Amino acid sequence: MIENTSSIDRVAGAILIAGLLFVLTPLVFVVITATQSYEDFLRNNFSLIPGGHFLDNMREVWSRTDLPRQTLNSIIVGAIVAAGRVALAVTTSYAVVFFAGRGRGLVYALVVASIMLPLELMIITAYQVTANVALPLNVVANLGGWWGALFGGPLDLRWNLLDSYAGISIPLMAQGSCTMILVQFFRTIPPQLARAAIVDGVGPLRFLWDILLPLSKGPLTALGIYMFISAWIQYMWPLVAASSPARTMAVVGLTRLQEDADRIPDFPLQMAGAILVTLPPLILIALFQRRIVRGLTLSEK
Amino acid sequence: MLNKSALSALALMVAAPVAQAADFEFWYGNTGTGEEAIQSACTAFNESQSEHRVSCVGQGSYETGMQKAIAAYRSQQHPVLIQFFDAGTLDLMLSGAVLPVQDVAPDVDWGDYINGARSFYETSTGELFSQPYNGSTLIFYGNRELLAQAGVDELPQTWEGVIEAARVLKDAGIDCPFTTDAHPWRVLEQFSARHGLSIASRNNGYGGLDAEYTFNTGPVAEHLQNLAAWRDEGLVKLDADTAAGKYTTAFNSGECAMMEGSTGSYGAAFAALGDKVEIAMAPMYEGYDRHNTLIGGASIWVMKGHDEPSYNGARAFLDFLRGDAQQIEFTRITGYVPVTNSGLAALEAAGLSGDPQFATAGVGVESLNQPASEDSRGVRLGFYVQFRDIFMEETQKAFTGGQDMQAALDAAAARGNDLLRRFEQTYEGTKLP
Amino acid sequence: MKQEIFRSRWLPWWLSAPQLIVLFLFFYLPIALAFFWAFHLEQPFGGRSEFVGLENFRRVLGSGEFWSSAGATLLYMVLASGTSILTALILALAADRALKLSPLARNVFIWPKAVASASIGVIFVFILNPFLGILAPLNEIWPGFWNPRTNVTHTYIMLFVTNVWNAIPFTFIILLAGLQAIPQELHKAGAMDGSGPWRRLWDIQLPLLTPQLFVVIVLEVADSLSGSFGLIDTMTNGGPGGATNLLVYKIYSDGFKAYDLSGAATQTVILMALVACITGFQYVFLERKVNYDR
Repeated sequence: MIENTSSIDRVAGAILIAGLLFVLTPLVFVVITATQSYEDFLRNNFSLIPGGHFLDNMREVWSRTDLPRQTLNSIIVGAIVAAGRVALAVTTSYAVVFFAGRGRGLVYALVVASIMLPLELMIITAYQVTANVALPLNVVANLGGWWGALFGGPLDLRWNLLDSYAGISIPLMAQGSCTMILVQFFRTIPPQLARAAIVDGVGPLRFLWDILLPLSKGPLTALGIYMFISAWIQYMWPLVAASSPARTMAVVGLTRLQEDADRIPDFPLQMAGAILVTLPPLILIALFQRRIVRGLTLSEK
Repeated sequence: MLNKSALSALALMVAAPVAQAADFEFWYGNTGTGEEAIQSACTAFNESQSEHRVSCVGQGSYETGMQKAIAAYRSQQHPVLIQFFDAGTLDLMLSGAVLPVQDVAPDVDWGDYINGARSFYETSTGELFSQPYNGSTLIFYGNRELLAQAGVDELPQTWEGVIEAARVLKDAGIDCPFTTDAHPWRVLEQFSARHGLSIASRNNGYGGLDAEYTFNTGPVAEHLQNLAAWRDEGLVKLDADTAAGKYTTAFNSGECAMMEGSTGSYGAAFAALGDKVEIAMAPMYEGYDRHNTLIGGASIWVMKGHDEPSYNGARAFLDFLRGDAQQIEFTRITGYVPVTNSGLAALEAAGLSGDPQFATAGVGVESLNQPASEDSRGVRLGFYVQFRDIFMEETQKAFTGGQDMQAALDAAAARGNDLLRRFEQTYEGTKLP
Repeated sequence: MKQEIFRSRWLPWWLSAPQLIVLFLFFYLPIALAFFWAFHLEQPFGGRSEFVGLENFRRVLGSGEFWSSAGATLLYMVLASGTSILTALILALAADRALKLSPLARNVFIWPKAVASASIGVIFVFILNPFLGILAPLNEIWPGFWNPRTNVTHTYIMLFVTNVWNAIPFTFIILLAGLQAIPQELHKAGAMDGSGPWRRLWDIQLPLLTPQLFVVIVLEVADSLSGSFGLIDTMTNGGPGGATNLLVYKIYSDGFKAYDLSGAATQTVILMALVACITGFQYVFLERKVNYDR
């Protein structure tokens, strides 16, 4: 570095070691617990001495859940959510950052406000909307009975998305953090770029497609991976929106391993399960870490 | 512009595929062993006949199942059968979304259900609203080995005896003589029922929605004050005082010598401690006659708005679950108690009643079958699930020293009464069945 | 806001429409339905719904539990987001240096993101268990040194620690990426002017990090609110004695565990107003300080 910074480097090194210990301790504990048997656990409670039941626990998780299918479901939902959120974020942030005009402040405010309230607080009403997405159309059409007057009966469209990939994924897209991040990135793009494009006679859509998207490949990939993982670890909504085993996601499927309130949970088995569902996103992170960090620079330089 | 036929064609196109007539859904909340037992019952039912098909959908917990049922009923996507737990009985009875099971299947001999199981789920006029399913009740647990160490040979039957034994255990070096979590199911509902006391006026609400909480004076208040005093003396540990943070775990790990717990905790205790576990009916204060304890666990409700073939299937499935063989199998896997007299007789006939795996069936059912009183039928109070949280919150403040126990109970009763009044207002015009 | 390059009447609306439709259907419409409940006494299964005007609000605003919950919520948001941003900033500053450990740390610090929040709570409740966890030895020396089950301050510390663990990945990535994008020449120039590392942190790194800090503050404050639900649900259930019954959890348990839909909806409306104020505050007062030019 610039000057003699060995003392600062030593402090920084100590901070990193502390951080690593902090992050890794819980994960080590998970792995150790997963090696114990239920009987050990009932007798000794938690203990930091590894047992020899890791493979047995894995086998039991495998036989008691339907992980292959549930993992596939998680991948599908994760991919839809990631692609959907990134695509929605691109168009909206493009409109917010690169266009003049009234309303864009409002659009942006509507998007940002959605970050704060979790879906858990709207679970019943969100379910009702998903059970019939055409609900607002019906309401508008039947307001004051004009539809009935014109066509001789109230409008009653039904479009049920429950228990479908769309019904699980789309409500998970109704959250604006991805857009907010992308707006910040777009703002760092030099305006000269777009001005030059206008001089060359490039239209706004061509500019988006030919210039802006290639330029944003890094951030978009990083956001995509990040949103994929965010969808992967969702619990409440996928549990409520899916009824059939054919649509159950991996994190939800693991609840099968939990015991009822009256009983003592089989923690070793649950931790073994947690390892199995955590591995795919963890591998993704470990492999793409550099790309994620570089992509989320939020600055085009 | 789109015209109506185009729109309805679109609606047809996107509508969900219509389910086959004989298929019907059953939503349940159990997980773990309970879920496995339910799933195997469903498979057995589907294999036992070809006319109906039940698909049993796990919801992860009773609460989520109910949330989803509310949303689903509002969108006409609800199942035919839903399992729900004891404390939500009144919410479902008044919901207008369920049919009394006795009306759906009038030919069944509903009198076969044991008294303690029936009264919780029946109307004030004695009509059963839902079919009792996974039943449990409160019993008393002892760790034979720890008790013997202190020279206590028998599980005490009275609270006075419990505390005497606790002092002996304490002197013998056992750090945790008795444990409970002081959850209202244990220290309020089951306590009052077996002592023949009410927790609210109008027979715990069976007489009408205008009931008011009364537990904050009298024996319940004394018992909670005793618990607090015994805890200070080191005789009682609550969840927070135990190593694992849960009383059942503390008992199973041998930390505590006695506990009051559900019959549903027996399976895990037996797995951990083997024949060191002994059980008895929950203790009484001296000078009270013993009445029945209440049934815990859950029952199955029939929801409105389905066609006759679905109800035929539901009837067949409920018959199947009620059968002796299914009840014995369910008890074997889960530790819940059988809920019909014929199921108990069948258990006896099969020579299983002495089997430690079925030990809770004996003690639990004996406790459920004690003489009934007008106040030991059950709890029929509005927003009761929320009240349980309030009770825990206020008494916890007392146990951790934030406030006096009597003040805590008064506050819980006052807040509970607010809930009851609002419940009454919400259901204004609805008559309590 | 700047940029404003293209002028078109309809195109920006077409571009924003997809997201607005999704938000409308699955965020604003569900909230609007909740607004309806806030002015009614609503039976859970929809049997009857009576208009009661502001009665629900009067009741909620008149209850001590609501105010203590709201106060605790605000305090939690400030402290939880503050601790997690500060921790991640320190880690990012350390990992930004070219140390041997840096590549490993940059990777490992993102791992917590892969763990579902339900599991995180369970794990930390054990690790911080007063009798069996890592602080248990200290409890044997000084009884009562650490007990998150009965001591409210300790309970909150437990929640903050867990929240920090949970929040490190995102905040760390964004801040590290921001730091790495600061050109070396600026550091060199600063060093030549004779400013030490501490000065350069304040004069160069932090000012150039403001866009990232802004994103992180907005998202962490939001996350601390919505993420508190999962942590409280798995770690404290609102206890001890209701001390951690933060609004998000209280609304959930009042409404969906206890079927008081109207009471829960009323509190949602109030929380929504609170959220709008906080977001507005962030944009009006904080965004001004953001430096987009490099």
